[in-house]
Amino acid sequence: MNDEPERRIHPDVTAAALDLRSSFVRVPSASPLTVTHTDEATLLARAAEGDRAAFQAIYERHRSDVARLVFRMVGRAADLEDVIQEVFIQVFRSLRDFRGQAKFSTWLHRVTVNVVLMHRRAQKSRPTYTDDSAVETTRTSELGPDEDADRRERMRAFARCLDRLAEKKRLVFVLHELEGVPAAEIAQIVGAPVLTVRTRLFYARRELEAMLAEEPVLSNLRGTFSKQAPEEGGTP
Amino acid sequence: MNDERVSPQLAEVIAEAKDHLAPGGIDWRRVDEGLSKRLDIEASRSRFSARHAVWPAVAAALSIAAGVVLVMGKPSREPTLEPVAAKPAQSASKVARVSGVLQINGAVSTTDMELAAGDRLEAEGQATFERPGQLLWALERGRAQIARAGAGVVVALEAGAIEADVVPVPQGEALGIDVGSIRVAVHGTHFRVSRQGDRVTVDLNEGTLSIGPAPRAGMTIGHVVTAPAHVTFDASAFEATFSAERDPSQVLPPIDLASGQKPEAALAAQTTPPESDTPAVKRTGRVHRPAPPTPERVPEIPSAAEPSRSPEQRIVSALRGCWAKQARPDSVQITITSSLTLQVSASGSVESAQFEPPLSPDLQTCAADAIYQSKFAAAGIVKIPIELK
Repeated sequence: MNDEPERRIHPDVTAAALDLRSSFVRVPSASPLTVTHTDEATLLARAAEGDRAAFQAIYERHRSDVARLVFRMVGRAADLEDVIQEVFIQVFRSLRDFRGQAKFSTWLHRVTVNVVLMHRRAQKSRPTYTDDSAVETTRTSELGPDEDADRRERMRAFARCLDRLAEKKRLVFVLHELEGVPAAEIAQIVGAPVLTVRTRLFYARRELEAMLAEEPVLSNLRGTFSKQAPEEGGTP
Repeated sequence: MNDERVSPQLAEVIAEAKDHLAPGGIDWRRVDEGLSKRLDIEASRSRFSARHAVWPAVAAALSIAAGVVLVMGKPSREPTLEPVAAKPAQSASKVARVSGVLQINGAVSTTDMELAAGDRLEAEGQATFERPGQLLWALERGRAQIARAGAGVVVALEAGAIEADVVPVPQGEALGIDVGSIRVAVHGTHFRVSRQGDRVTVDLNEGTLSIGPAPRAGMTIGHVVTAPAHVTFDASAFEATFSAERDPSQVLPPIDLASGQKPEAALAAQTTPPESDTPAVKRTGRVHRPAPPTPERVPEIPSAAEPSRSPEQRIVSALRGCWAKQARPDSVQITITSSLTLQVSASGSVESAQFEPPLSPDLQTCAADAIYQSKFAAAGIVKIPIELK
């Protein structure tokens, strides 16, 4: 076998991918040629044994997702980078304990949640979403500057509402509604029964719906653009 | 994914937030550099002899005491690997057994995890910890924090109970249980500390305890109690409320920590479960005024044949009657302590009632009639200590 550095680092890369080896060295985080379950399992196994290149690949693949989840739970941009680092430090320390019995994403969610909870307890303060730059708004071609500003204002208002939720309810709401994690997985992540997760989600939704009415930029929404419009309106 | 109904307004906000509630302006280069430095520190703590070098400059800077040379791009073949997680030099204890769910710092824990100073514990059932040859202790349906992990372990009990089996040490105190500013210090014994709010119960089966204000350093100075002893006090008024009984029949029997015996008596005596923010299970000590009597509902009021009894006595009597109706295992002796605070109006009627710590909802509801139908001689706050056996 040709003992090239790329092949040694990426033994499972297909021959077609190897033809492109001159164009990149590391495993790209979103390449369709390399994002396979087998590849991730291989990377995880190597990273668990101390392979820094493998760990780097895992980090690059998941760092944006972790950043988004941390932001939605913590809010304050100033702490974001520190918490992201801490998450991956914990991943590095604990990867040996990951036996592959659950999805890696579930395990990573759990590590992220734990780090955020520890961070918040250490801070002993509630997050505030007062930084304008904390909320990103993607400028799209169909949005003008006024509409973009309106969207940012809506997101800031929603972030304020999230901040007012109790921690346990906010956590399940963010994981389920914003991150798309099923309740059964959330139950594993937070270490609570599924019924408890659903109960917290129920109350989180109810409280947020009440809060929407208190935010002028959100109370005017009429649900005309809802992608999940229920068959009947109103709260459960 | 969304399997339950959400209002159209909230659904719209969620849909927008999924795409647009995200952090902006992350300096990934700074995150990468910071992470790299921290990973190097982690690596230098372990006994890895070789690693992949992702960042050549960093890899070149690594030096390992064992003197093994790093090879760029080559996986390590050294079998002598230490766990990456750097644990403190001295562990407070190790998780030996868990019945139910144990969380350490908010994360679900498994056995063999080491405890360190600062770790916060929450046990839904019983979690047993050991320092082999020195300590065996269990946290039952409660919360605690490891305040100190050294030669002498100190655990701050926030709620629930801790039972411990302690081997005597030649100097100092092998284990201390802090309740607020009060410490139950152990010199070698089998004992149990149970906390409900500020009410503390200590059952000593063997050995000696010292109970007093937690010292900044050195030995705990206070009441020295020898077995057998059943001690009660209010942590907020320690000296005024301290009481120790030597009657062995009052002392809760010990559980066999080594075998993981379930403390049925202790679990049944726990009337204040761990905190939950789910309204369906949240318990308060507030006693709600019962609904006006209906023809079907006969309120339980004190007997008119006992006019000489004070309203406080009648309330306690009614509570004992409610308590006696509750089913319990025959072989178990359970003691409940609480304090009932009444707000009495100018007319002598009870305006509000609060148990601290809360009793079970059934018990509070049962006693509500007796409480709100009592008449006092004067307005103000009335506090009634409650002990039910």
